[in-house]
Amino acid sequence: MAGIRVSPGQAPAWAPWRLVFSARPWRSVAYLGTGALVGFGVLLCVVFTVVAFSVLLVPLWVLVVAPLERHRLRLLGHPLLHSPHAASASGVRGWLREPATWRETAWCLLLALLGLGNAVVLMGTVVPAGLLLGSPLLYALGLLDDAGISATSWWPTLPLAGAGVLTLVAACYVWTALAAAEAALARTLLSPREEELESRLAEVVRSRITLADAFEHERRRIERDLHDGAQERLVALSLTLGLAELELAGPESRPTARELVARARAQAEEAMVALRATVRGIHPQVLTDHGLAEAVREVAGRSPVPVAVDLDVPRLPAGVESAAYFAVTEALTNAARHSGAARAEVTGRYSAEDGRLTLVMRDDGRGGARFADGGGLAGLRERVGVYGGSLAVDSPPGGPTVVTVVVPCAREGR
Amino acid sequence: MRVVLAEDSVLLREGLAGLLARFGHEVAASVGDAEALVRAVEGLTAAGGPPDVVVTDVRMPPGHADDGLVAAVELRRRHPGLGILVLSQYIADAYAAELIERTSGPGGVGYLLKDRIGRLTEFAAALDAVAGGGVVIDPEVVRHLLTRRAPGGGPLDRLTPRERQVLALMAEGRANAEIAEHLVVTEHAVAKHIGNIFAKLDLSPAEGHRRVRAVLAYLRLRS
Repeated sequence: MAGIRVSPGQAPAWAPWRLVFSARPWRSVAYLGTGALVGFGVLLCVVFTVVAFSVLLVPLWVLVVAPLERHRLRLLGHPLLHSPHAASASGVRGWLREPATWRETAWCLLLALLGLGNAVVLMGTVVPAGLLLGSPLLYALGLLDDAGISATSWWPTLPLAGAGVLTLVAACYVWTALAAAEAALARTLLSPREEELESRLAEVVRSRITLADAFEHERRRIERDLHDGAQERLVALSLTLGLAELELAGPESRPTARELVARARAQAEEAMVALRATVRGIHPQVLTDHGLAEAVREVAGRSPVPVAVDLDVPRLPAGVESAAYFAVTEALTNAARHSGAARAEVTGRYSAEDGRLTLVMRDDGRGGARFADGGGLAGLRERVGVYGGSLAVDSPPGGPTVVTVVVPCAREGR
Repeated sequence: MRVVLAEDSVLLREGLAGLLARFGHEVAASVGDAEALVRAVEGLTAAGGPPDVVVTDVRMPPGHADDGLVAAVELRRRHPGLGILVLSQYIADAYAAELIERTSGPGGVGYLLKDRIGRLTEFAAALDAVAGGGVVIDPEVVRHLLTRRAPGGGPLDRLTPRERQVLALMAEGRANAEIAEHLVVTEHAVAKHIGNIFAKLDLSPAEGHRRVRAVLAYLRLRS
């Protein structure tokens, strides 16, 4: 043994039969054995990693599985459950942070086991019941003999078929009970918790307010654009026409041209008046600068029906002021157009203790006003509702019509 | 007269500056926001050449609300003799009232809709009236105030149609002679109408533009 050098990676230079007496085979065994151990270890690691990753991915599978599961419950006649997740998506991180995700994950993992159980129960009932029920047929086809059961006539198969029917009846109860139990568990894990419903509601309310504020913001932007754009340009136009008129008034003037320019200037003024009315309908600036009381006094002054205004309200959030203002204009417009009222009144108070604005519009017209789909009052009820307020109409035939608006809000120090 | 002009629309500011020059007035400064207006008037006053009249837009930077009007009222508080002519897009009498109720002193006050600018001679006359210490309210705003219908009989219901006409012309800042000419009656008849109006509205007859203030304040309170 001594003196024989085994160089790695190279065929031994000595006679092949001496190999048996060398350490080489034993070393090889050790090498292969430890290789098997390491390889097995690596395999375990790979399997473990794959499994671990798959388990980590379960919360993401539930994105698809949980809605499917909620739909599957409808097979048993349950109503479709609401999603327990928050409406505003906030990425994978937010998704993983929701308790609902983990309840759904638990259900998914549970279903992996329960599904197996379901298969066993279904196979364990359907197959025997089917075989028993079908035994007369199997006899007729001669299949019973093949199965090693010797039957000389068909009648002994009848009790077997009867046992099949009994099995099937018993299975009906088993299936129903099992499905009901699973569904109960699924409903517990997949339906939203009360606090989740509450936070969803709060979210919806918030997004409605955001939407209404955006709408309000947009109206102001349009008003500002018209004021700084079209309105100013019309003023500049009428100024230029005025100057032209002045130039044409000289001694060598042309009366016709002067008259035309004067007419053009008058038309520019009419355009200004029309545009001003439009702008006021979009957003009256007096509402922003002077508040609800002044804006209502102004619109009441323009009403063809005499309106008594009794308002004592501080400055309120812009959205509330705007919703309240348009509720008043709508009520006054209805009074003037449809009710045949001879007089109307607007009363408004703000209660600091309750933190709420109350507006009452009353007219002595013929009544019968109601919410029509897509009508002005219905739209305003929605608009007031955004701020948690209410708009009620009491208008019996023969009148009087009373529109009451109540909006909870904080006063605003402006 | 020396005028300081404040208007944020460049187009209109240049047009107005040209118009004022056309009528022989000196545009001492022309600015685009409320803060610059205050600085310009104070600067001119400190330099020994205060303006006679400030012509300003209601809505201007920095706040884009009634900054111009507020700045003008503040300037008037500091300089009681300064005439103020406010140009506006708003009929709502809250603005005119803000101007009338918050200014005092001998200087004139005017509130005109921008529609009026195209009627150059009327505009020039209004500017002269303000420079002369008078009060001018846009006829449209006055009409809006006078046609305001309060149920159960507002104070205006006590006036005859003729007296209302006289009141409207008074509110526009017209003198008795002008009213007489406009209504084709004698000045004596106008004076008699005015006496009746003041009696019916329980106001004490006051001279000059104070009577306009009194009437407007009264109408706003009672309607």
